[in-house]
Amino acid sequence: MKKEHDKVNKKYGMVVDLDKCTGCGSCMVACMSENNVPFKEDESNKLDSITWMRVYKVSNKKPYPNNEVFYIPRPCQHCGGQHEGHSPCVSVCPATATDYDYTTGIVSQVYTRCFGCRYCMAACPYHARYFNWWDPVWPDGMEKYLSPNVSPRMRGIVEKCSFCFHRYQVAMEEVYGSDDKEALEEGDYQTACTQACPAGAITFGDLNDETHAVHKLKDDKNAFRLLERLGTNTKIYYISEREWVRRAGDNYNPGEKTGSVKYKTEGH
Amino acid sequence: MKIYRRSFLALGVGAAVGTALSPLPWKMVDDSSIWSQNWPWTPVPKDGAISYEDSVCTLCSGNCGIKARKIEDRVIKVEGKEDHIVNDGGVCLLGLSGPQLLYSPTRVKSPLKKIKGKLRKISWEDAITELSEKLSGIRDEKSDKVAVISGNSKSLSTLLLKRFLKAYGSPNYFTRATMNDTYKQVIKKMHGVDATPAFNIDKADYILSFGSGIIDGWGSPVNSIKANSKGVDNSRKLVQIESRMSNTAIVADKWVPIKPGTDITLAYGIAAEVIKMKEPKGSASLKPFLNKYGLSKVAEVTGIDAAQITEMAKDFATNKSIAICGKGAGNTAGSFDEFVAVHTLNILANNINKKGGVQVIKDSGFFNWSNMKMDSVAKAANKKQAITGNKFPDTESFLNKLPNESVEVLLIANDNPLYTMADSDAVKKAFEKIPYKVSFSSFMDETTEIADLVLPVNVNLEQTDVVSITESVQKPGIGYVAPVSDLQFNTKDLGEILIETAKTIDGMADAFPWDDYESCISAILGDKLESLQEEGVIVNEDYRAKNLSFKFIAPKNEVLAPKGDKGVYPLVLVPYDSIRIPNGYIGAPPFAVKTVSDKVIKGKDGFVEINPVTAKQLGLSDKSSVKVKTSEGSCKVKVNLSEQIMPGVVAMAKGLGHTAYDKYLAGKGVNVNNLLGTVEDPVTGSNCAWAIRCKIEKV
Repeated sequence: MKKEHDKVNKKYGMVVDLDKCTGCGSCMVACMSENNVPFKEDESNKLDSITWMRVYKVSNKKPYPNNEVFYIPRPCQHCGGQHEGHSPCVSVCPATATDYDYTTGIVSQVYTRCFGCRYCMAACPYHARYFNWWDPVWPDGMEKYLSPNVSPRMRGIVEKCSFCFHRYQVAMEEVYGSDDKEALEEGDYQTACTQACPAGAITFGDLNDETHAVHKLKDDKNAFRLLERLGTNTKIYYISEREWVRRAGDNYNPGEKTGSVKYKTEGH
Repeated sequence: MKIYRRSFLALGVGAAVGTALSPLPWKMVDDSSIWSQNWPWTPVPKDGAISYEDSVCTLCSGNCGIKARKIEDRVIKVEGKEDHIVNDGGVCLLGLSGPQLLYSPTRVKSPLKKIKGKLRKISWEDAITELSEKLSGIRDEKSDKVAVISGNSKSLSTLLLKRFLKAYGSPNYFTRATMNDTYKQVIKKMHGVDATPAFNIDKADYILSFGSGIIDGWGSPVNSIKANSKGVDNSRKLVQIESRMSNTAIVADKWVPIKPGTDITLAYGIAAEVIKMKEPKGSASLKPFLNKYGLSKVAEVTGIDAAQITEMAKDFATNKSIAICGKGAGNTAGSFDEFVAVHTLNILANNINKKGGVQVIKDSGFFNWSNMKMDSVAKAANKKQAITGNKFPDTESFLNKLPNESVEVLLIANDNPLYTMADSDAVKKAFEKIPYKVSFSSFMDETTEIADLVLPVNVNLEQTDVVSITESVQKPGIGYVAPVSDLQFNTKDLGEILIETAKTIDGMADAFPWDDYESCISAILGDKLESLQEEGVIVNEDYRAKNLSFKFIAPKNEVLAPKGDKGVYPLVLVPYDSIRIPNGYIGAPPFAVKTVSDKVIKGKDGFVEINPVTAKQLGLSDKSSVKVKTSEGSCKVKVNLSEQIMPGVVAMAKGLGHTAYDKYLAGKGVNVNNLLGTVEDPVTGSNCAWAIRCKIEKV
């Protein structure tokens, strides 16, 4: 039986140029603002600080003056899994609260279905998922800036980056409603972080579409994915000319060459 | 039927089995989970028609083009405006936090007046009468005892403030001196022109940065980050010279740690090597002077390897190079001598007004000011010198010398000096002595808390203004700040307040002939206004700078020793700018605070960055509590062991330790300004201190 998802579909993904990333934090705030991510008095416990997009600072651990550092933005990696759709989190969710969308390759999170078991958080190798330990509270008057496109989440559920899926929906609504427009163009659907990045370090688009910049960029000789050997088949690619930076993207055995671990993608 | 004890048991078991088999327990679990997720206090944002409105951000002097996404009349998000000449779609986290500032509960919601020691609500009418009576009362005898502190002088509204003070009759207009003010004086003394400097770093192949945080907020922050990315694409080489590895050093091709305060020696040391390789026309006079800077001496003073200095000089001489200065975000004045040394390198690179070089721009007059009619009081007063004296006639203002005991009325706009000025505890004491202080702040910040009268101005998303974007785009240009939101509170534009007040003070009305702020803007911009409003910017694309002659200047200082006795204070403390922690007159909004690392704020604790080698000498380990002491003050923080800083140097982030604002910001970390002192620059008179000596004790 030919399944619906065997058809050639869109596969949205991101390529981040780590040599350009300045660690400025715009992507984090653009994401918070776009997706009604709440904040609380103390956000210095990073384990319970909800940041769908988080920028990590990674050092080469060498002593002064040979120390080097890079910044790496980490949204949800939207894993395809070993067979498209078998993302680590999707496989363990007992409530189908997180699901794989075969038409876009986006891993969803349905807040009203989630009952907070947090299996998905344990399964996610990238710490991309966050639990709402408290109800969100906005200071008096600040609720005015909340966007109707994304529901504020309540206590007891898990949330994560959605690739700004509501922006996809808004863009598609225009396609459906238009007489002459048949498909999305590259610029029609971009995530908030991509749009805000002052350094232009993030490129977003359909990895399957040859006309999109990401299609070519993902095959750059310096492109790599995080923890590739796990076979999570992620949709976030990173690029750096620095060998040690690429090597920091996975756990290598001594003697193993950087980039030697490549996961072969299957499916669409 | 007899009832036995067993009957109860049977009934109990039966009921339990029956309930378990019925859908009841499942239904109840289901209902309770639905109920538990239906908290009525989880907001459901109202839907409505989406619209976008364009403006220019005024939260810093970068002046990016922004667009506000609105649902009906609510601003829900700020985004960068694509294709805008300053930022082309990019936007920093402060700009993105615009809606949080707009709807912040820490905003001043109406004019306030201090009555019996407490700020109380008053009407605008009363507030303007109050200000006007206060100013009128002392105008005839001591108009020159009135002073203004203005956070910038790039916008039309702040130019109106300057005009207001002049027409009133006082020469005491103060701004916070930035790197640009110092560089302007360098240009004036070396090239003999009054012009604005701008740095075309995106076209340079080799950038020698003397601690300038290209991606840490220096220049026009988003524009500079974009320039850096273009540079990465073009394989330019960036060398970052500073004692603590900033984010700029992280993306740089090479981080060169330098002993704090020795940049002048290094710059001339490199110049001495460069001139051996190429000798541009007119540089003969420099040669004998540079002889002093022998390689081994320079290496010793700066702590940089001689081979590395030669390499930098070679790269600088053989590429399309530029040297830049202004530490961190460039918000401090810096040292005149250091800037001259760096500009000397630029002259040797022959890059003045060339692609990839220093642009020396004469601002074209976009503003058509009418001749100002001054009455006799104003005319007489403007011949007087400013309260701070005229020892340094080329320097527009010395905020570092204010407050001065003779100030009677102080007006403060776009600045929060009680927080932002060095040695802020001393500043606070001095400010408390000024009998009457007026704050135009939108927020209840440290300075506004002690004001006698508060006239709250609109925040950036509510403002109407015109700003100069010349420094951002390296060509003469202006941008239009349009209100994208209705007024949230009972506030006004600064220009509006000034025009209304001027009309009520005898002798000032002629200098403010406009009916209101709106007609003032249209009178000053004339026929340019329409296209400015339509396009958002006007840039003089055809502007071509002339070739300039130059002369070299010898420095008064070769080393800027950080303040403090080496015996008592063996370490050097450097404050650093982080683009994630806005440290100007607007405190970091909650979004920004959330992005700050737990090695910079943890709970309420701030941190001091120390190299493990230094920490070991002091017997300190990671996260241990310490007291940092300087000649100006002391504070308690925790240790953050870091390999990204020189031994002997310690660093603390700026922008923390607010006492004002809300629980998301107040009381987190410490205000490093409390520990910093001021050092008078021998040429400009501004505060040229960057670092200060300190000691660290375990507590």
